[in-house]
Amino acid sequence: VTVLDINVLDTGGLDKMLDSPAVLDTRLTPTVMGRLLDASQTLREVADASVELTPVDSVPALGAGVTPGSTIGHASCALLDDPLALVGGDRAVFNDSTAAIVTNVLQGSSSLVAFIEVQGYVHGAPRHSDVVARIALVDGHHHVTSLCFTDERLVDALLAPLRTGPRALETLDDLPRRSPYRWRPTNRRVAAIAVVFSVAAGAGVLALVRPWHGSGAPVTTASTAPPPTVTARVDGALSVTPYASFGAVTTTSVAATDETADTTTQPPSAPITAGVTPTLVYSGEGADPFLLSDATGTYVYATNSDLMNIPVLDVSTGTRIDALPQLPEWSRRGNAYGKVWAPTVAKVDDSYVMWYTTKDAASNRQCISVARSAKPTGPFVDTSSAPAICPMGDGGAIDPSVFTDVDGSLHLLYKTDGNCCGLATHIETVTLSSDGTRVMSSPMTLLTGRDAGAKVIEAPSMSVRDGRYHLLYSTGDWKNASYQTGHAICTSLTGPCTIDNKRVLDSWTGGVGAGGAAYSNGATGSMVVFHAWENDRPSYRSGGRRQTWVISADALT
Amino acid sequence: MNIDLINKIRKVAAELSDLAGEAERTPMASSDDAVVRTEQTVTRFLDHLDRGELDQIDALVHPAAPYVIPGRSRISGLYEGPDGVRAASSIIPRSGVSDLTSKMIDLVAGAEQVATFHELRGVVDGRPVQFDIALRFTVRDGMIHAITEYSGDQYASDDLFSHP
Repeated sequence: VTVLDINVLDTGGLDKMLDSPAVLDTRLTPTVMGRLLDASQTLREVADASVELTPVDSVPALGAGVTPGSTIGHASCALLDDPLALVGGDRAVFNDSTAAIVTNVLQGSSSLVAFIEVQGYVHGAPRHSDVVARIALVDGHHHVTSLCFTDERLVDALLAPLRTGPRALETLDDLPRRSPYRWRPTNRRVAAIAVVFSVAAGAGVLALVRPWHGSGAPVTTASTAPPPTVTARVDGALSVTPYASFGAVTTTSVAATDETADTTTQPPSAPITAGVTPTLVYSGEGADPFLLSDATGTYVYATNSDLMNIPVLDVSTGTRIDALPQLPEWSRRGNAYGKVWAPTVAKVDDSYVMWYTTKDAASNRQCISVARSAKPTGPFVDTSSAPAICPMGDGGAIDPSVFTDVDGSLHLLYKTDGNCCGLATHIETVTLSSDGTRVMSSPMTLLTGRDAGAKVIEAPSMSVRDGRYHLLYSTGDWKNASYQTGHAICTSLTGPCTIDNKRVLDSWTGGVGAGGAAYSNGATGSMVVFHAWENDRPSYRSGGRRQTWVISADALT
Repeated sequence: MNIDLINKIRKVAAELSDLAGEAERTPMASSDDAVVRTEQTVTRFLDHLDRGELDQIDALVHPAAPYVIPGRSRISGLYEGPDGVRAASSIIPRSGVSDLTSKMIDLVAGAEQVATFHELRGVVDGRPVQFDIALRFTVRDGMIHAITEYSGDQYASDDLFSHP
């Protein structure tokens, strides 16, 4: 029997595995276990038998959802008595940018099948792979006997950070790049995936472990080390503690591997100042931004990224959290992951109202909804039972933008999402109720794609300056450097509008493809916040991300 | 396979997932009879494939049913309907694989969803290759409306179906 220490902070155990080709493929199991569970976790692997997890005394690294004294492994498999409880449960978070969710479970006579979607970001772009796990009951315990993927390479890339201990990185970087960590080793040795699901209220944990098929040295592990601080790799934008419920997660920047190449980004911690040239606000993924500044601070919201529905950056503290952790049921049941876009926030009296885009499960269209919060950083709560704005005949609606007129009345601009389905796109506006949460008028069209000489017109934002209504909009392909911002002057807030500059903002030395521009504070601010691709990486495909910038509104008029 | 095709496959797969979403979330709510009928549809389909009776699958596979095979090999891609199944099957003999065998090791059925697991064995360049695949079927009214393949070892699968 070979004994290996699985404590991720003890590189001795890792080094032993890495130095031994015979057990190379076994490192996934202890590493993942060590990361996801706890250094006090004991993992037992027996040759030609199954991998088993024994109960542990505490799992502090898993955070509030799992209380000390909870057990993992055998005991948690009792959850499989009600496997459907897993479906649509909370996401199991592997690290700051990768998670999994059970999408379906089939119950057979001697086995059950769990369909799992592994979600993550590669260079800021949302990606996913479906995974199917066949779980058989053997000797009273559940074991994963098959694990298959629709995109195994992606899962490899997404979970690669989990397989590296912080002090073992140098060694791992020296390994071959193609497939240093195979889920399915050619020698049929153990390859394991530990999927930790925080079920329902987060009280349960299910560990799925692939069996040991091969012969050779078994691995028995034992560790009495104190619980480690789990160190997770940041992919995409840096978030200090994006998943507070998962407790002691800290972040570190590591060397690039495969698809998950990354550079650490730092959010600002000083007041934002906007000049006539753009100033970088956030160097991570921060598309379709909106900037709100009030007496409590300055906040930058953005389209979903880093497994957050609506990331909000508190500029004063540099923290970035999910302002909208829960989607409404009508959207959530459609798996709206990656479909939550373009927030806009207004402070109305003592509360904050957020309009945003999300997927309507019933129609499969992108639609607009509204949520409220007592704090600018949320949590914003959406109590709606249906989208607030969703013109089906126009392909749905996206890119809401709050506008406050000189008389204090609230209005909402948005784009009809016709390009989803071969239709034209319009910029429209409606009047909102005084509390900013309800649509009170029929839509009026301000501009069309044809007006702009473009196939698609989107991302509107309006401001009143010098007694005139200024309208910003975006055209081009958001996926590359062709995206650009145009400017129009409107005689009233319901039009007509005349375009005076189709390219008021596009590319400069700091970024390319500038779009998604929004006047700060819903028109009353003096800044325009927007996103742009990195100059040398102007697309997701090239490894870029849409960074958040700010410029003086005066510079665009 | 070019990136556009891959993206197209993913888009269709995502849409398929969306469409099936509501039904997927209540797989245990239906009667045993429905489960049996669904299982029979899939077993008949697999039996026809095993026997090479590809002209018999039209009654079992919806004409617009997407058939998604993951990976980067010659067989990877998005196929549609019975013709798509036949097209994918026709690629295997031209992929340089010899002695390809498939053994079903499990079938788990719900009212509208069936998962089957198979062990594939073949020989590439004289080397034996072996890995598992899973197939996920969406079945309604006795017709297969979608097939998604999952690979237990995409590296080996791509290797197997990428020759010569």
